[in-house]
Amino acid sequence: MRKLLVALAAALGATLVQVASFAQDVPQIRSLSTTSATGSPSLRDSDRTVTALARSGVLVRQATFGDVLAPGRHHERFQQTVNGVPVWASTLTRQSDESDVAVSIFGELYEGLEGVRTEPKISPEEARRIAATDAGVELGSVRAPLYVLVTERGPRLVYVVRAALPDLKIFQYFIDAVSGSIVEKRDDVKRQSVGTGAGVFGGEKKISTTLQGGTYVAADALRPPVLDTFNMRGDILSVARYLNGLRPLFASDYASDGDNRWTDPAVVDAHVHAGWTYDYLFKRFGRLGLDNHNLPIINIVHPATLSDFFVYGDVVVDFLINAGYYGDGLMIYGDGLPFTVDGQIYDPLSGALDVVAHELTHGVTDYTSQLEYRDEPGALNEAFSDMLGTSVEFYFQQAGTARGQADYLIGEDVIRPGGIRSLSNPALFNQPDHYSRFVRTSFDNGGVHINSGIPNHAFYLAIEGGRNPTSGLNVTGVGGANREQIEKVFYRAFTSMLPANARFSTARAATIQAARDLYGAGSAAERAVNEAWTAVGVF
Amino acid sequence: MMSRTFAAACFTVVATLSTALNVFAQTSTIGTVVVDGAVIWRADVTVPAATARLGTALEVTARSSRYYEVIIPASLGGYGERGIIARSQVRIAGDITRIPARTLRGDPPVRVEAGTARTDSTPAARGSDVQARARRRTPIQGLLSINRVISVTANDFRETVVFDESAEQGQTETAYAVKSVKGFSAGGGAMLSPTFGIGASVERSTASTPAAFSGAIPHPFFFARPRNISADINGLKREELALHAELRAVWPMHPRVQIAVVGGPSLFRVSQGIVSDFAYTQSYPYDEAQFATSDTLVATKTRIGFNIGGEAAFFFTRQVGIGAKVMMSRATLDLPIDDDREVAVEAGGLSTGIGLRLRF
Repeated sequence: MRKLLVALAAALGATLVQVASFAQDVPQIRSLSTTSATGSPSLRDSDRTVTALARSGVLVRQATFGDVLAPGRHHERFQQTVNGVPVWASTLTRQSDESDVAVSIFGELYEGLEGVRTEPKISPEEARRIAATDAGVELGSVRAPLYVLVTERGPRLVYVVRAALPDLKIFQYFIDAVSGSIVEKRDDVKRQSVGTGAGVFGGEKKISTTLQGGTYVAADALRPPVLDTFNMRGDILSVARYLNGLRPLFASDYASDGDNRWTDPAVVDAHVHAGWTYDYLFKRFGRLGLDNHNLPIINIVHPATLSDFFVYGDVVVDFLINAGYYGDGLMIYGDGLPFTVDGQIYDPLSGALDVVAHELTHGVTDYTSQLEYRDEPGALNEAFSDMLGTSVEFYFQQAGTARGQADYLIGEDVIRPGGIRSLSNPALFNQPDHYSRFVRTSFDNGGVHINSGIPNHAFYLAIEGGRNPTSGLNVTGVGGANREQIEKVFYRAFTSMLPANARFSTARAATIQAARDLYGAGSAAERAVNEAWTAVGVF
Repeated sequence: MMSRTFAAACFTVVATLSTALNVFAQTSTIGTVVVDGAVIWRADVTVPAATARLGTALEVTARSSRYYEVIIPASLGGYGERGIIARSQVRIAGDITRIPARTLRGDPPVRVEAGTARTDSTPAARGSDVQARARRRTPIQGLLSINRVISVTANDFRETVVFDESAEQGQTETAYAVKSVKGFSAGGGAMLSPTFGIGASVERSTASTPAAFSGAIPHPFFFARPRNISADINGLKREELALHAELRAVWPMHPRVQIAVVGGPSLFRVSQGIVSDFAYTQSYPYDEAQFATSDTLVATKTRIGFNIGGEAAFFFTRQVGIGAKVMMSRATLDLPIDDDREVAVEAGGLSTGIGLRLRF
């Protein structure tokens, strides 16, 4: 296989963009990212390479789907494999036109993996036991898929197991399938932000419920997917057991109300805002929920109480002031705090529409680009959630600065004053607004909530225009009245064209290509996106 | 079509009666009035039918010891009916014996000049006087009428229904067009005096009442974002049945022309097709809704109202004529649709009618 790849690369003139200088046994990374705008010969070469790798089985087509936003176009998403075992976060996308002629390819593949042993020596059950022992919890029949994980020390065959700790932290364990050692342990909650929360601020909303046995439960029977909200009444242990596959959610766990005049604001907002987010995805992009196949959306509110602090310590406070996407359509919303932290009031998190939309967008990413939740892909993952969170606000709310109005702040309705991030001015929250200020850190999965400020600001500039404070470059945006264009451009690029290990530069190329595909070369949208990325220093 | 048929029927009746009168007047002699202002009395009652000027030629059809029976000429407003005139006021040119001798109606009173006393005091004359007075005391006449009626009042009405849906109030409005109601009426009455009478008539009319339905359906997810639906609903009908009780004041403007004013209470019974329910379709994301079907029912209600109007009749013969009337009748009814829902409608209105008149 290595020979095949090397031969193909040499014959095609190598579209190498970046070569990692890994240790001698560490596979090299080859980028096949190219678009019709960056040179047709390169695109044709990459296209031949992708086709050859797909025929050889190195690339397995995960999905083929038509493009709702650009009729006639279709996309393929490939997963790199070794002897049928997927390589962690190594995917590639190819866009083609009606004639099956490639229009763009985005993705980076590992070379030199053909020697990796793919026969596990331990069973999935043993892997689960190892993870459970480390986490100090009991695990049910949670999934334990096999992957090839490329680490700094070389490729490893691993089982990936998720385990929820009693304090509701979720860890993703990479268990060596040969030795049984723990290769890595990652925080896997894609949450709004560490140490943040939100609250509910009134405003009557309609809530779609179902009458069951004389009681109304928060089960949305009007929207296509299952959309249920459960009230765990502060039973943190039950939530943890549910997350670890040791108990289901029972009918008695449903949030309920006797007369359908709901008095629990956290329930109302979780349920309603999740529905609105589904509506936005459908109306704006024609998307059917998180996985585009109406994956059930499960909200959990009141997962813990402040009294759990005495058992689990500070982490409970952290949990109460956060909302998190726990995978497979599951959202958990903290209740906020009865006191201020760093001068900010924390209300129940579900009260902020942008927070709910942000978290659900992580679900969209999970079922599309699967942007790895660390470093640059992780920052893109976070940024895309911020972008759609803000877009959902502007879709359903009047623009303004008051509570319940749309703006470019994140979480400002429930974390008062100010919120937690700003797309218009990332520096307000110590986020970089330019690639030259990229923060390299091991904290926060490589600063995913920090460096998201860069693509966030590009998104803002492409819509509203303005000047980037660091570069001093001005951008002519499409204007708020045309925000739909930029929303579609970023949505299309992030869901259909980005590979799992995309970098900021990949996002730039993909969004420019998306703008060109949707609105034409030289369009205002393409120009705005191009200028915006340039202004934030991403090339 | 109905109007043409009705007019043809009237014409046939009138022509038949005229023919019969002509046949009846087959033997006659011409006489000349010798007294200016001579009175020709009605042959049936002691009521003057006409006055004839000196020299007026009269067709004499019978004679008695005191009177000639004559045909009241058209120049005096006659239409072929007979009257009687004192023999002293007519000179017969020719053989008087050729005139059929007949016992005519009792002696009419002799024309009395102002300030003079009655001179005829024979027992026979006194008997005729008594009969005449008796007839004057009971001047009852019957009247029958049949009309083709058209209501010119638009009784359009609308119903607004407010309902709860999706935690909000929705509303529908159905506008019913009741532009013109056509029907028939038939009635009869009796004169209690030469001027006043009583009567009753029944009027039945029907109309199609198409409805324009519109609604604002609450959005299931959002407040104040109603979805509008609309539809035209046909096939709805209205039937009005009215029983008009009438007091009648009559003015005989002319032996052939009669004008009357009528008025009184009316009993209305209205049956109206009503949109009782509707269905709509919607699908996610529910930003639009479409009208699907409607349920209808016939709501019926009876209520008392009033009528007032006038009519004019022209008689070709003493019994047969045609007439036209204008009537304003009104009642407001609350048609019940279900236990707690009703809709107010107006019945009656300004109507016109034309048709056959029979009197006796």
